[in-house]
Amino acid sequence: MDLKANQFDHSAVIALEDIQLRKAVGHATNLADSRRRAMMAELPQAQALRQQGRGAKLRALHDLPELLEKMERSVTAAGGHVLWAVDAAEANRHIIDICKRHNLKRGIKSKSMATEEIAMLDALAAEGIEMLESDLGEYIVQVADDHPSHIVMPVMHMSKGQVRDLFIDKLAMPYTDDAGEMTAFIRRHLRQKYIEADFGMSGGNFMIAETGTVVIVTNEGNGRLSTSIPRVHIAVVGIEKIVPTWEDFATLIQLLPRSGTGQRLTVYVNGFTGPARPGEPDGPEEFYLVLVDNGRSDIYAGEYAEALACIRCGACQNVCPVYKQVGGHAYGWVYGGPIGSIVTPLLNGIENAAPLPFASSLCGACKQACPVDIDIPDMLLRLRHDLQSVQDPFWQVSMKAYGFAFSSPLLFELGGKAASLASRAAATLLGGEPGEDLSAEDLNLPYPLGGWTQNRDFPPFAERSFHDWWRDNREGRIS
Amino acid sequence: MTASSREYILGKLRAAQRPFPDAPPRPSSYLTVTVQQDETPEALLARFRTEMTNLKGESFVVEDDEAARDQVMALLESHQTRRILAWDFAHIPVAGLEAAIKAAGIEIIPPETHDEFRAETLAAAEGAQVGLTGADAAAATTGTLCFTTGPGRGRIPTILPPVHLAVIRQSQIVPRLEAWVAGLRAEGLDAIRRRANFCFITGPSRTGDIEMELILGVHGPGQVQVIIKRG
Repeated sequence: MDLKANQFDHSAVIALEDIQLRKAVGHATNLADSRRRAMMAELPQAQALRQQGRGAKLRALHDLPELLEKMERSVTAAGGHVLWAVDAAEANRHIIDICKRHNLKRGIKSKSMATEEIAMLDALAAEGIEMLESDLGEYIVQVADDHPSHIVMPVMHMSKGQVRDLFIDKLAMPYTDDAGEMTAFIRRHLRQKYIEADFGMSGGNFMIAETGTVVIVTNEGNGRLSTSIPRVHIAVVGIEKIVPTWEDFATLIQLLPRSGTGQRLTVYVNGFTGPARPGEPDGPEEFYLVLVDNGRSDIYAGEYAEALACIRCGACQNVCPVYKQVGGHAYGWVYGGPIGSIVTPLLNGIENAAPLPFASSLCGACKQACPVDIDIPDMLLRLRHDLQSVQDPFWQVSMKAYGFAFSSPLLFELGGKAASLASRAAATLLGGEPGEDLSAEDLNLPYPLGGWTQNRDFPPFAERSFHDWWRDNREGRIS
Repeated sequence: MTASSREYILGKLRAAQRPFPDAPPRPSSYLTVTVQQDETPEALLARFRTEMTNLKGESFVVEDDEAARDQVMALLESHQTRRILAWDFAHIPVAGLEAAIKAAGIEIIPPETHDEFRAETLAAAEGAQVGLTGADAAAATTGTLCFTTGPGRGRIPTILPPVHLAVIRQSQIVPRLEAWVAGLRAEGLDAIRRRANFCFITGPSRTGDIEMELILGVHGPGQVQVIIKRG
């Protein structure tokens, strides 16, 4: 999807005025978070388990190149094919090549943030290849020509009434206000599509390197249908989704649903080790794994490698005081919320997502909620710092000057006097009377300090500095 | 192109300064996620049934083969079953079940989609009321059925029909998922490498996508019924 992260300030204001949106997002995030809390609270060793999960991810990242090679060997030994994609365009090219090789025209897919990231639906459509989303939320998004607004709850921004109107308008659904009837309508609608599909697609929540197993989690069963019935299965997975062992997987597979949807386990945890073996009655005859880099190796080499430990549960979104008010679309790309505010600038260039590191109160709720204890606030803070260096050379000069001025009492006092005089002069120039009480809102600082006063009052300087006052009054108070 | 992309990505990763050199080593023993103090067979059975009920699944405990057969037939009748998608009966631990189902006039379809009759099989499968399977194991603390694929043990019976009936022996109930993984490790990972698919199924298909309202049976079965045979 098109990157619109630099419009965050504008999009956020529009979102804030959308009462319906705020109600829907508030309701869904509160519910998801209370379920997550209940699920974590029942674990007697919750904090130790988080660290166990975190350890698994950090070990995996430390050994990433070796584990990817192991994964490739394991998948190949199981009869599958592994393709490597440097960027989104190459990933899409691989998928289209597979379709051409096997003459695949109609696909059905389960939910995947990676295919969202590489804008695969558009790329396939341009080649005349039909691809249907089968997760209910993603299907709604597809019919509405919209984008998912949350990592695990794609249409949390929509009300039941909006979904109803969409289905009536686009799919000729008979009128109903019952979510169960709407769901049953879509079940019937998609049924035949699974059977007719030439190929199924999925993402991957985990890749277990030691056996070459790609794992997906779903609740609806669409992931299992999409990967069981069609003759070809293509899985598109980011390279950071790897874990070394089954034991590491066993920990993480239980932390993910507890944090994401407040379940002990999702209904379906489905793992694929190559294509169907001889003698197995069903399942795909061809299995392809597309490993997507698309900027991840740059993150790996930089200061923010911890962002790659994310298991995409969405818990940080559900607790974020900013996300809870504006929803996911305001962030202007695939990944919204706290982790999105790190990943989006890192994958797209910080200057193309400049407002996102600031879309946070740094309250730390995201770190607390994260099942693998990613230090999101720290990374946001460092990104802010990086951004200032990239965007505003004046900032660095003025920070140096600031440091210099505060290094000696004399310089500090002179600086304060100068600023006081200057602010008075400025107020006079702007129309105030000399000596008139300077009211705070009168004063907007000039560039480049103006940004500071856009949303804040600038307090007027006192007529007398404390230093002056102290010199006159200290006698007898202190020796 | 692919070969060079592979080298390019791996080269970049290798050239980078390794992140997390202080990552904790692989634990010699892992903490388990869920708690179940009493691991006697009766306690595991009770826990599995409680979890199943909470998930809006159903479970039935039967004493022997005959009772198991009667239970399966009663459930098939309750779903007005005329056609089932089924695993090979050698993998369903109920003696005489196939004969009883045939005697009731219920059509049995094996999920064979790799032969030339694929289209016909799928069309017929779509009309089946019930999927009938065994299972590899069951995990008590999460109410989970564990499946792997192999000859006679397909995927479609667990997912395509609106009702999934699974028959297990009580001895197949392990305390938790980690125990199933430990069994795998003991057996050797080649056991997993030989099978194309594993699946944990925890209750009926569900969604909360429309205003977080819980709806069962979205794409997979809306009803999961587990028959547990003693012993």
